[in-house]
Amino acid sequence: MKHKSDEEFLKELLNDFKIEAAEHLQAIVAGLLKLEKMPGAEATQELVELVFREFHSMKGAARAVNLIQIEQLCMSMEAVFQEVKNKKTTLQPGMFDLFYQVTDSLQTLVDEIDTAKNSISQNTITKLANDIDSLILTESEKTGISFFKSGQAKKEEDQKQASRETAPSDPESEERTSPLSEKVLETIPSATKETVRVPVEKLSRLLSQAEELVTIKTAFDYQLEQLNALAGNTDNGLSKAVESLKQVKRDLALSIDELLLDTKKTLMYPFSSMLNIVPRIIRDLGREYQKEINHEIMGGETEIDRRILEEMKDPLIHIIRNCIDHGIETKEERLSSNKPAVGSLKVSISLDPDQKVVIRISDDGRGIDGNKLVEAAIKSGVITPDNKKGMPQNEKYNLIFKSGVSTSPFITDVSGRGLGMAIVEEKVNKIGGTVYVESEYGKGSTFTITLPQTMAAFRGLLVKASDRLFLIQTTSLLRVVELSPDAIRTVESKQTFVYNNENLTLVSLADVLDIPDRHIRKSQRYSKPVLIIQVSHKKVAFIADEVMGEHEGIVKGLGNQLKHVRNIAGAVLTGDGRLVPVLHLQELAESALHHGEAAGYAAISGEEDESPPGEPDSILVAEDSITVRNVLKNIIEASGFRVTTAVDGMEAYEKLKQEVFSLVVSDIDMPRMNGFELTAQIRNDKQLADIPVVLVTALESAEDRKRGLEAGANAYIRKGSFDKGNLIETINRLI
Amino acid sequence: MSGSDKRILEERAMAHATKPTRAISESDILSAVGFVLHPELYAIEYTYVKEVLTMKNLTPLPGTPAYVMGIVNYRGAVVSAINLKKLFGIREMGLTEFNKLLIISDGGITIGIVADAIYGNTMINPGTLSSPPITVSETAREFFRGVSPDGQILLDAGRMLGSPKIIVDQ
Repeated sequence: MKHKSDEEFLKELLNDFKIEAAEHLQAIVAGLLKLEKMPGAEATQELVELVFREFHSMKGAARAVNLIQIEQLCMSMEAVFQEVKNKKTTLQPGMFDLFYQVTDSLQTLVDEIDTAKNSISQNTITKLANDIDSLILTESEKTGISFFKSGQAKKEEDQKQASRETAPSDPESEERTSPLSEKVLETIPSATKETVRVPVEKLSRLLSQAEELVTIKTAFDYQLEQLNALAGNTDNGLSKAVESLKQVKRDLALSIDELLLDTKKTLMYPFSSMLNIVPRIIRDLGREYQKEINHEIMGGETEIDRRILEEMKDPLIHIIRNCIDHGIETKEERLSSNKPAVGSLKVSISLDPDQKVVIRISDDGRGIDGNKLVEAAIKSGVITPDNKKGMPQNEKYNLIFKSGVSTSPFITDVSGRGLGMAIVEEKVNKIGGTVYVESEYGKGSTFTITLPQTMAAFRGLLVKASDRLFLIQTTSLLRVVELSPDAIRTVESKQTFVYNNENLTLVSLADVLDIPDRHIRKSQRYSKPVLIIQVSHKKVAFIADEVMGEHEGIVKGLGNQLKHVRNIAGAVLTGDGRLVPVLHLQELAESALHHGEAAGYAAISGEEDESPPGEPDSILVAEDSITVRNVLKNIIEASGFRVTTAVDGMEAYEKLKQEVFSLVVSDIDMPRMNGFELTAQIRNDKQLADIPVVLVTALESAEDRKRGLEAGANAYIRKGSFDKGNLIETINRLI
Repeated sequence: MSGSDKRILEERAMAHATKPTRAISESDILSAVGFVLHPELYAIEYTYVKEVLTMKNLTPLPGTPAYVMGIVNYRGAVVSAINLKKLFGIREMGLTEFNKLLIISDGGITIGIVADAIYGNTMINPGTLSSPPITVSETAREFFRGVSPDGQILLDAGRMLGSPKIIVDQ
């Protein structure tokens, strides 16, 4: 049993290290951001010292728990900062990109502790470490030479040169930027009150136990009612006992509610814990799009449920990216429209009187072209040309949240697919919040997100499929209508349901979920409810067997063992102690569109549908890594496509000549023929020129993006970010 | 990270696989919970067993492998009920009751093992374990530590909980 306790001990150590490392990294990134603003200046010494110390401590901690890769990177970074500290080398603007690459890698390594994931290879680490090490060599060589020339004077000039290079061209803007971003960064360690460090996991467990009490409270209520009914008219001591029990119940209910609220509060986090990544994002994106942006962040101290904060990270980043990509103009454009050369982006967080958290993100860019958006919306079928007439300006802007509406021609990870904003709205709605945008063409846009401060209970509709209960989120449910024969149409041998003049795919919920059929559906086939569900870009009609009513509860995850179950998002606990699965509507809609069609037809018509399902689209995957290749293959096949693989661009090109494919998914770095070359080959080949190409890459860089665009790729996805949906959505959109 | 994980797992596997050669002492005897899954008798070391529950309120989950019978609520968390027969590929025989659920955990993964009945405490001397019959499936051999002279199958709960084979990730 010794091994077990050793392992437990190690696990504990690793957890401690994770917490510690997160703090070091936060301090390091904050320090780097400040340093980057003022390289060479006298004030940096303190910061250099700080960054050096943080790397040093992190290295020591990593060594203690035997995390060699982290140790290696920290050691190299420590050495660089040691040199800087001892004035043997100076920080150059060009170094920071590498530094952030290192901090990103460290973050990933830390995140992946305790998981089976290992997305950074030893090669990458070694390469990074070598790159860092080479900074010292080249820098000291340089300094050595400069000493030959004119010693100290030359060095100072180097520093001046360096600060000129990073300083924004508008000297005023620098003054405005620095103090503000510092203010934000300083709010992070605002631990003036006495605090105890408790792992979030422990608090989450407390919370889930407190939530459990709510179920017990409901059960208690129910039993008390039963007892009350039994005691009814009897005149013995029983009624008295019931009366006192009722008092106990009231006290219990009060205590439980208060306990739950206070426990929720322990899980509240200040927004600043997330916002400190914002300056980094703005900096990186500003570079990527070659735009100068001044940012301002207010209200970072506002507290919110940690779970909500986590959910909001992606939407927030997305909106910021959108503001920078589409909103803020290039310097030339700005100057010609009499705007300050440097763009401005403001993020403000506040708590309104109703205890709602309001996030405002505004830019002073070109604003949204309402008419262009309307055109795009018509093109993608979100609205009809008739809808266009008399549409208020504000409503036009909010079409941005409709899926499939994009005014950008090139698809990247997040922008241009017309999905990002739809996902933002979906995420916000899921938490029970709202999002809208206001804009003035030529002047800028403001996105406003309103969120509950604590995670509210999940509201859903309890439905029966076959003999089982499921919960469907109310916000994605457009309507429940009755199945009527004249609303069913057959389009290309597929059953569809006519709803608001739209032909929706009609499937049986039980069939999509693959549940054995216990209801005699044929005999009562038209008295069933049809659930019209809308998820990001599609409406689907599901036939359920019965609608049982509404239910409110807390959605629980399925746990570590059930990492991902298709079509299921989690489960809620009902009053009688039973778990009801919550349907994952996004996946359910995909499942419905890909496999349920024929089954739905047979179930409704009661006829055997003999026609074979259409041939699935064939997709070619070119990737040299066997792991990634298999991951891609699995993900894509799981969505109903046929997948052929190739080990590099050359093989892919040969296969393309022999077989017909609907789409190509390709890695960039491959032996013999890389992804850019493959894309270019495809575009230059008359027979293949129209095949959509999705490039998949490990690291996003502006240059790669540009090269991909030039080569003629249709989409560009970062490997780290292909959560299953992202890639599949892109494929579906392009085919 | 996975490197050191793997090393730990390998070390543990080695430790488990090594039969003690020295004389049997008090500390060698394992204390385990014995349970019936008709017609077999199984045992799981006490250290992994969190609680024994009466099986109720099982919710079947569509889209999961056959060995996941469903999910139950255990102290506010979702835990799946696992049918070892299905996991090990043992043919269903006799009358199964599935009355009990043994909640087992290694701190990271928590699962419920479905049992027909619990027969309580049992002491097993690892030195007396014989290897499982060659007729059992590969998965079963992987998760069996051995069979005691009185026919109890001692499960290697640590290995089972650490194995990707029981993880559902579609």
